[in-house]
Order: sequence, then structure tokens, then C-alpha cells
Amino acid sequence: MKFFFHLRLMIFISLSWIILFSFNKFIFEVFEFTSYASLIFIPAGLQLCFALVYKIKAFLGLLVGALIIGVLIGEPQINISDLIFISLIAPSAPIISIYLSDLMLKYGHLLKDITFVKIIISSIIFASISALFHNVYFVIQGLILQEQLFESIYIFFLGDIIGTLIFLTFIFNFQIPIKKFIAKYNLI
Amino acid sequence: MKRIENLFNALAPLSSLNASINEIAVVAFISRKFLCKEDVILSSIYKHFSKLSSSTVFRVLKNLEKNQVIMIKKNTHDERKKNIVAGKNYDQYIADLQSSLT
Repeated sequence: MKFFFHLRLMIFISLSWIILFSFNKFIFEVFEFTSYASLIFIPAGLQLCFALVYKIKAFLGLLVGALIIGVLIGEPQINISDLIFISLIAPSAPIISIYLSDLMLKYGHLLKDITFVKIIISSIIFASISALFHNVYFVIQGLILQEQLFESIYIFFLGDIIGTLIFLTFIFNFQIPIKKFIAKYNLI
Repeated sequence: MKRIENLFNALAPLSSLNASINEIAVVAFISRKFLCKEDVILSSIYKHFSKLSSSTVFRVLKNLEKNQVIMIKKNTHDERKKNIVAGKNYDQYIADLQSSLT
């Protein structure tokens, strides 16, 4: 029973991650700074919410989603080790930032003490960690130029924050169908 | 599910207004009657909101009753009529509505 729950959860998380990533790439391609950094990155909000709700349980779904994205929509010239490492950052950054912010801000049992301000602080922590992890790795591997590092970190950070705010507004307005979907497929 | 509920509750500041326009219209009508110290009869609300369907008005009233903003009571003189009186959360609801509108 637990196995099927985790399987369902993994499919749900990875599919929504892939769909939203493709949508973001299709709609906001014009805001891309490099092929790795965009000024609007809506999937960041999805990562943050999954990490908030499912914590470590979201790891596998986000990892599988990131691997599929890397293979299907990512850069064609990227090698396998880069693909695995970048895909590992996708679930690690939000989960680490959620554990860190929970430690500092205290979300309480079942997120009972969570507030809007705490979510925004968490998204800032997440955007910083994600931007730092990704861009340091890109520079080390020569995927972006060293001169681009700070600009890329800035774009990454801003893109994640803007994307998270757009995503939160979207899910807030569609909370009833989202709750129904989660209850229907027993995803919590 | 509680985690999701709490998450959505925390996102409430993204919406400047939690009540619907229909709800505001119905509450405005009721509160005006309360201010004039007039009896609010259920059927008069249906009659007043001719542009809204009776099911919409009924839904709004049921929601207000559920949240204890109003109470629907039988008229003591005429059992066919139902009166609307302020519930225990009425003042708080009006205060919240005013603060969200300003």
C-alpha cells in the first residue's frame, strides 16, 4: 500500500514538474538569459510547494522529473554526469531550504504555524541555494563563462522568486480543484 | 490534507478579498436593515435580489449561517415566516470585510 502511494506521488510530482517546466520554456523563452537561467521560472514555486508539503518524500519525484526534462528538453550537448548532477540539485535545493527554514522559522506540526511571510522567506532561501548550487556547478564544468557567474546567479535568484510568486497566486486561485484532485487520487 | 489546508490558509494575503460580490451584496442589505432596526424576513431577501437566482441567494445565506454570521429563526408570530438575526460572528465578519475593503 505504501509502495503504491509513493509510486503515485512520484508520478504526480514528476509529471507536474515536467508539464510546468515545458510550459515555462514555451511561454517565457523570451526571458531566458542563458539556456540555464530565466527571469521567470514558475516551476520553482512547484518545487517549493512540493518540498513544503511532502518534504523528503518529494525527492524521488523531482529527481525523476528533472532527469526526464534533461533528456527530453534539456541541452543536447550535455553529458551524462552533468545531467545527473544538475538533476540532483532540482530536488536537493528545495528540500534543503525547507528543512533549513523550518529550523529557523518553525512551521509547526502539519504546517500549522506557517504564514505568508514564512513562505516568502523560504522562497528567498530556496532561490539563493538553488542559484548558488547551479551556477557554481555551471562555472566549474565550464557550462557558463566565469564572467557570467554573478549575473547568472542574480537572474536565477530573481527568476525563482518571480516564478514562485506567480505559482503561489495560481494555486491559491485554483485551490478547490487542486484539493479535489489530491483527495481523489489519495496523494497525501 | 491538513498540510495542504494550512498552506492555502497561509496564502490568503494573495487575495485582497475573501468574500464574493454576491455575499457582500446580501450582507450589505441585511446590515442596512439591522441599522434601521427593521425585521429581516427571509423572503424579502429573495424578493430584493431579483437579479440573483434564489439558489445563489440561498447558498450565500447558508454559507453565512454556517459561519455563524447570521442565524435564521422562525418568526414567533407567524411560523410561515423566517427571520434573520445577527449571529455571534456578525460583528467580526463586518469588521473583517471593512478592513479588507479599505
